[in-house]
Formats: sequence, structure tokens, C-alpha cells
Amino acid sequence: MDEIVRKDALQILGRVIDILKVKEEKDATELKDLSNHTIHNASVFQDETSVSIVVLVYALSKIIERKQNELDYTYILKFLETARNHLQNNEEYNFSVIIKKLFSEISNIDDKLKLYIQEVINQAQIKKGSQLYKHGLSYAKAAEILGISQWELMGYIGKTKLNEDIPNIVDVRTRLKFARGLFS
Amino acid sequence: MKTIVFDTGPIISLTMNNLLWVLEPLKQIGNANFCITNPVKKELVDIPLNKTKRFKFEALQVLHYIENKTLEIVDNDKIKKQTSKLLGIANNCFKAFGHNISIMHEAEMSAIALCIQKKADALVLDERTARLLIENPKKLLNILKHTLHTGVKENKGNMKEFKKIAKDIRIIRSVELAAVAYENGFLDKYLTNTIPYSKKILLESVLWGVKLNGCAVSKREIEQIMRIEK
Repeated sequence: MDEIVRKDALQILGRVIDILKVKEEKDATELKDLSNHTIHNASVFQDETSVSIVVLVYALSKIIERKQNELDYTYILKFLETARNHLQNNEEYNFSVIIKKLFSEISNIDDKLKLYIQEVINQAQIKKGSQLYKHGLSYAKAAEILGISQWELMGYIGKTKLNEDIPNIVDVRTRLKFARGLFS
Repeated sequence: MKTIVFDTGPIISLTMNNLLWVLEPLKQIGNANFCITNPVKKELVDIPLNKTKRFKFEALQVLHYIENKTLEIVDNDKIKKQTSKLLGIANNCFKAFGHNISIMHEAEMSAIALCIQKKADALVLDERTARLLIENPKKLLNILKHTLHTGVKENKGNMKEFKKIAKDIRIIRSVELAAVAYENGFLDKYLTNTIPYSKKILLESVLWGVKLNGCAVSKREIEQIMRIEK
């Protein structure tokens, strides 16, 4: 694992653990802000650790936003601390296993929560995929990194303003004229 | 006979708007072969059919147009080799934290490789990154610099080489396909006397439809097309 990635991931995990030590109303907002700062490594290094940290922090923020009262923070903290230990010891595989286990354990709290959490994780992947696109990666590349389909990603990005500021290299009139020529 | 190559994006935008059928009359009036590569087919059909529960029906719709030969799959060793070469160049154009940024995917590069091999008349591409890499890679560098908030170094040699290889590729998007379909009356069955300005509404609806499903076209460009079509 790249040392920049490992150090950043450790720092972010440490911050998440700090936020979750005391249950407060602002937890969801703080985690969401943190998730916006974690995406740059995922864009550049595109490694599993950076990507899972990004999805984890954003998904946790959404779960806490809606289901804070039902969540046992000590339970989550136990997993996060184990994950941090694995990262400290450069055990990338064990880290990814424990993150997957964390989501699966939260989902098992009750059946209703299970569906909600699956949806939250999927939405987190799409949202973060759109950020990779914003950073300059292609649709297909961003979808591949987040493990989602391009169908999902395009539908989401199309409804944002991300395609509004694209530099206009070829004027739309010229492109349309060329297209007409092809089909005449 | 013309050759027009499709990337994944335009097929998705058209399918999501129930407009995939316009490919058949467009192909006819354009006297063209519509081609896709295997990696594009994988994104369009194989992944939704095998890996997710979402978009299975859409994948089946695309498969129908592959099976009836409206979309022809072209695959050979030369394309694979060229795809790999293009990927190597494109994904080594920009560097941050001393690390090359992989910006492109095999599917997009295979579509470009196919264009080059077939000397295609056009590439239908809804995607921003590949379009900028072909038409003006410096603008892509600006996006990376601006959004990554870190120093991004360019490999000028690779940028120049990519531009040189792709210099003859002409790009259109699904939004232009929709406009041409409208101009040729293929969408007239949706016109109605029960609402005023139904022609204008029809055009606006299809242009916005493809935009909202991922075609990289701005609101300003759509307004411009509306004015052109008046």
C-alpha cells in the first residue's frame, strides 16, 4: 500500500473514531464534511483502501443522519478500532474484511435497517463515483473504481450540474451540422 | 457505406429515454454501420445482466438491437492491441502525488481504437473526459488541477501522442442524434394537437431527456439547439 494512502487513511479513521466517541447531533454533518475531504486519494490512487474509506465515512454519515438513535456507537467503534489496527500493521486484506463485516453487522440489527443500509451503501458508491467524475475521471473509470454500473452513475450525474461547466471545444452548431451531414 | 462507432454512454442515454429504436431509421438514412466493441457491450449488457439487479431490462433492450444487427460488435486482436496502447498513453498523461492518474477505462479506449482501425466517420460519445482528451487535453488538465487541489503534472509527450493518434476522430453525442431524429420526423408520432407548441415541447423533452441521463451537454447548448431548430 502506498504510504501516503496508509497515513491519510489512518488519519481519517482516527478522526471518525474521535467523532463517534460521544453521540452528538452534529456527528452526521461532521462525517459528511470529512467524507468530502477523503475523495482526492481515491481519485488519484484508486486503491481499495481509499475507496472503502470514502464509502464508509459517507455511508456512516447517512446512516447516523437517519437512524442515530437505533445505533450502538460502541459496537461500531470496536470494528473501526480493529480496522485501524490492521491498517497500522499494513494488513490491507484484513482491513477490507473488517469494513465489509462492519456493514454486514450493522445491517443485521434489524430487517428494516438491512434494506436501508444496502441502499445507503449503494447511494454512497454512486455519489462518490460522481465525485471521481468531477475530478476528471471518465464515467466508465469512475464506475469501475466504485464497483457500480455505468447505468447507475450516468443517471445520477445527469441530474447534477457536473456537465454544465465543460469547456466548449467544438461549437454545438458545428457538431449538429456534422451530425446532419452523417444522416442525409 | 459509413461507419459510426458508439461508446457506452450514448446507448445508455437513448435506452433510458426509450429512444433506442431511433438507431434503426438513423442507420437507414445514414447508410451506415453502427459498431460497438466487446468492452462496450460488457458495460451495456453483461454487467447489468450478471452483476446487479438494476438495469437488467434495459440491458435486454440493448441486447435486442445487438442480436438484430442494428449494433454490430467488432472485435479483433488489432483492436485489443490498440486499446491497450491507448490506455497506456491516456492513463499516463497526468500525475499527482508522484502517481499516474488512471482517467480512462478499457471500454472508451476500445471505441477509439475501433474508430482508428475502421477509419470511422464518427464516434458517438456522451462522455466528457474522453471527448476532452481527444479534442483538447489541456482543458482536461485544468479540470484535474482545479478539482484535485494539488499539483498535477502533465506528460506533454503522451498528451501530444494521444492527440496525434486520435486527430481524425469526429465526435457527436446522443443529443445531436436526438436532434437529427427530430429533424427527420422520426419522433413525429409523439406530436399532439391537444397541447400548444407540441413540436417545441417534443424537441425540448428529448434533448433534456438525454442530458438528464448523462449526456455531457450543458443547458446553454440545449438552448442553442432549440434556437437553431426554430
